Amino acid sequence: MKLLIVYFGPFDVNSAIQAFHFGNELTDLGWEVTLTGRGDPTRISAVGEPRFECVSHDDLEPKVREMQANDGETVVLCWTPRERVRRITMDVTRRLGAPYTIHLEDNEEYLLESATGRSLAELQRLPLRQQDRLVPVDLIHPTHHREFLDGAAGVTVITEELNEFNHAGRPHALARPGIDLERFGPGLTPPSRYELGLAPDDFVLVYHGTIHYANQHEMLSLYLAVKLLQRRGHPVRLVRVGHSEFGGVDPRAFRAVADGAIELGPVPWREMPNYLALADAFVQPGPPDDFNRYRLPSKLPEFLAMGRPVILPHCNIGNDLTHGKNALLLEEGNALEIVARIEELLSDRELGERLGRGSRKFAEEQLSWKANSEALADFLGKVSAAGAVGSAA
Amino acid sequence: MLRRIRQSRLLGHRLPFADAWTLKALLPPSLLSALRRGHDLARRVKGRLHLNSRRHRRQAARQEVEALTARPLISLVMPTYKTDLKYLREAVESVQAQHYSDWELCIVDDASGMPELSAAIQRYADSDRRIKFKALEQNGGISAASNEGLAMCSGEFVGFLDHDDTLTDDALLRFAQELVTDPELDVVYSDQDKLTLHGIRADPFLKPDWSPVYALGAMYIGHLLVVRRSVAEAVGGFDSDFDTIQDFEFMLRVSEYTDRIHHIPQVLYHWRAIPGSIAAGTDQKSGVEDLQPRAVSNHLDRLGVNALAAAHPQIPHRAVLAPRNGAALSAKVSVIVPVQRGGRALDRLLSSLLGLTAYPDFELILVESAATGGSARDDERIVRVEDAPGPFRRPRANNLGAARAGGEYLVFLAEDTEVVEADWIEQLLLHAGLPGVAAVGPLLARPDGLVEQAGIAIGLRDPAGPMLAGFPADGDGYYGSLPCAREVSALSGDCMLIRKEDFDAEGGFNESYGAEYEDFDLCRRLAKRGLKSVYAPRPRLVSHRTPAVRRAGTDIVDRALFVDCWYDELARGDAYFNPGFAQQLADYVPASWRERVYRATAPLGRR
Repeated sequence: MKLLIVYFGPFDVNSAIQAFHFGNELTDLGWEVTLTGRGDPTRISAVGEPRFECVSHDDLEPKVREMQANDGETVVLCWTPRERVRRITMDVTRRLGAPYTIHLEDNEEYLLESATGRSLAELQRLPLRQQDRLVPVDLIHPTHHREFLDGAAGVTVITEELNEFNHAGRPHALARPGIDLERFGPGLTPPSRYELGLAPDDFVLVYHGTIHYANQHEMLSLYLAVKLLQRRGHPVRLVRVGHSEFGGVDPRAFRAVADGAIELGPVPWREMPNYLALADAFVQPGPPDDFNRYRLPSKLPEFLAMGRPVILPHCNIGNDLTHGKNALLLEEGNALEIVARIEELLSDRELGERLGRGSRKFAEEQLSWKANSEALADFLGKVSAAGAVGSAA
Repeated sequence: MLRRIRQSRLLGHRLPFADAWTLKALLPPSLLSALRRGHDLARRVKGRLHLNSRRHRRQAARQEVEALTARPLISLVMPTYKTDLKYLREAVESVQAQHYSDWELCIVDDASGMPELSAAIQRYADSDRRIKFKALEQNGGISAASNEGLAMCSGEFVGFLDHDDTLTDDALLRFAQELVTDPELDVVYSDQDKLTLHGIRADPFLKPDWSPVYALGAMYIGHLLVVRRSVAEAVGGFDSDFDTIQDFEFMLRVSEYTDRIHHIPQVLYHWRAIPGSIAAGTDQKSGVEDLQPRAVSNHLDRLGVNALAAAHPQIPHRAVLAPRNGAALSAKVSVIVPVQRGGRALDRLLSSLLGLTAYPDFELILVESAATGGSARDDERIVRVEDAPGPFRRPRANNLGAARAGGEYLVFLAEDTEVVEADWIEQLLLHAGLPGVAAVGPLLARPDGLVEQAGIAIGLRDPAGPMLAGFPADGDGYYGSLPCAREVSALSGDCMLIRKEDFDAEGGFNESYGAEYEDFDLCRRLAKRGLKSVYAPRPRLVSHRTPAVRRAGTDIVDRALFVDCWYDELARGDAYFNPGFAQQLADYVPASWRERVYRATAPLGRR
């Protein structure tokens, strides 16, 4: 069985890491996997050594011809219903007569509305040509995305809540990512605190990930929480990894509170576990709102596997965790609540240790790449057997 | 070559995949990348320009009408009297040009005695079945004619159009969209501007969202006003006793009936400024200064508010509050002054406050510490509270003062202010007695007579800023925003009166703030509970804040905390400060075209 994963972005970012792991595991299960993404496919080596073929969108044509020429069933797995992915998928499935399954990992409607400043209904009211002009291909198309979803043979979701967008009720399955428990875990050697400018008794938070328009508010909450803790006399420091774009409602205040955090910029993904090992705790800021409810930030499995206390919103994977047992859950997700949770950890070291053990156990039980990939393979197999529903769309 | 490639569909999306790959293979990656960037920019610019083309607007409006899930009939009432035929034609044809076609126009001629006018209207009625016409035999005044028009209406909603004014093409569509989106709405009004005799648009009036307190002092609702017909009928239509300001008086009664009142922040109505109309100037119609306070006083009486209205002494077409029949206000008031620096400023405040205040039942709570010093003044009305050790924290000091307060009302007062009016506490209490009001802040003026602040607007570049700073304190501000009391999103703790019960219910000021923004935060928390903060034009207090202190800037952590707590509200903007204004300062300067386009098209996170 052949599987073509159509990924929307470059090969070495965010959820491409998940696509990589699923690709490797499905290959081991006997699938012939091809991952197509944007840009240079060799950049996947930053994540690991793929046991499957990677081609850029620009070089997909020969691969499609090859698939056309060869026998055997092909399933297309579209990583998000974004317009770039839709266009490639429509062309490929038309030519191969293959069904497609769409993987949902975000509230795409929220992202579209945030990025364009217009509601989905407002955008849908515009003439199609203008929708094409106005909306970048890195977002869903206001009108076509719905037809695209409705025509899918199946839908996989990173959180069950995302199935709300499966309006046509296509068969669906949970495709939760896993975590490499050997690479991420307690006992790793962190970089020198001294060289990073951290004092031995600093309570360190590590956060990695890009700051962009959709998470600016919650990142402000995290930076601000650290400032407030420092104002209250707690030696708390934030080490941040990744690109930063300070904006939002008040970029000046954002930049000012961010000043004082240790900004490392992008670091190679292979080195990430060691940087995470610096942390005394992890915080995933943000309220359980329409954005966070539907996504599973890719860093959360890594946080959980590290065996440190994790503070996260009471939504998505937070729904499967227990407050005080294997995580501290945020109901509001703002700076003041983060401050309160961290003060709990500062005043009760034993609580931190207990939470760390609990989060690691959760990762071991729930975030296995092998088990989750087997479930995905099983679902894709069923979808394929059900026929090429999606190719007709 | 490059141009041709750019113009081709290579970098777009309409080219079949295989062809795109073939062409892309011919070009080096660096050139492709540059072309993609250029194409992306061109696409965005084209998209934005396209938004503004007339053809697009018509096309988009058609689609918007089609997208409506219901199409309520809107009846427009237009009384005519000796109308210039040219203006009548413009008025009627502006209705006929509406993108939204589910309307009827009910024209009532109030015995103009102009056969050519009747004939012209009749021709419109004959040629368009949506136009109804009735000619009255006897002149009854504008209210009587409007009521006749109201009786002719069959729509679910009624709107009111003057005989010489015009609507924008999309006016009724915008109203219909709001009414369909929220079927509970009873009243909708829009922004407006003026049409000069030569047809030039001028003087836009960008209004706040529904502000019943502001509506007491300024006749701000104006046009276009659309009301559910059953509501208009239930309140009895227009009252001929108030001809000239009949629409204002009508709206006061409507507001007693319903609070489901919505504002569209968009100019949808052009008001003709011809000699003799209020649009041409507030001195153009006699009697307004008597009628307006009478209408407001009647309204307050019906609401059971222990106050009446009087014409503003310098700006007679604005109404201000006054005690009804000299009714005494008897609540005990605790004035809380957190002492940060002490010295001359504090002495000046204490001298003015203790020497001038006429209100009998108040206590003065000074929150002092050994570090910050205090005042040696001895007065039986002074209660001294020891501040906590450490650096001065205004929220904590005010909370300590409030904890000791025995008054039913608290007044937080900065030490660099000065009381200059004997009845300042009475005036604050008067406004606190209005329905739904929890906090009141006065006009704070600088010693040179300019405004220091007249309420606080939120959602600005600096997330909260003083309104009308630098305006002449004796002026009209923007459409009465200085001489009239009005709702504001926040008030400054430099002088703020609040009911102690409400203060305690909120748990006082949030002490996570170090020195600032806790006052704005409190107002927003009150608003979350449906309680209003109101700017009061009287009393006036003088702020002696020095330019150096003003320039010292804000505590950035406090500012960020305020942003974090109220992020979504700040992103939405201030309900009482129209989004059509430039958002750098709350000085009521209309936003430039560039700023409006930017705000309409930029990603939410960048606004």
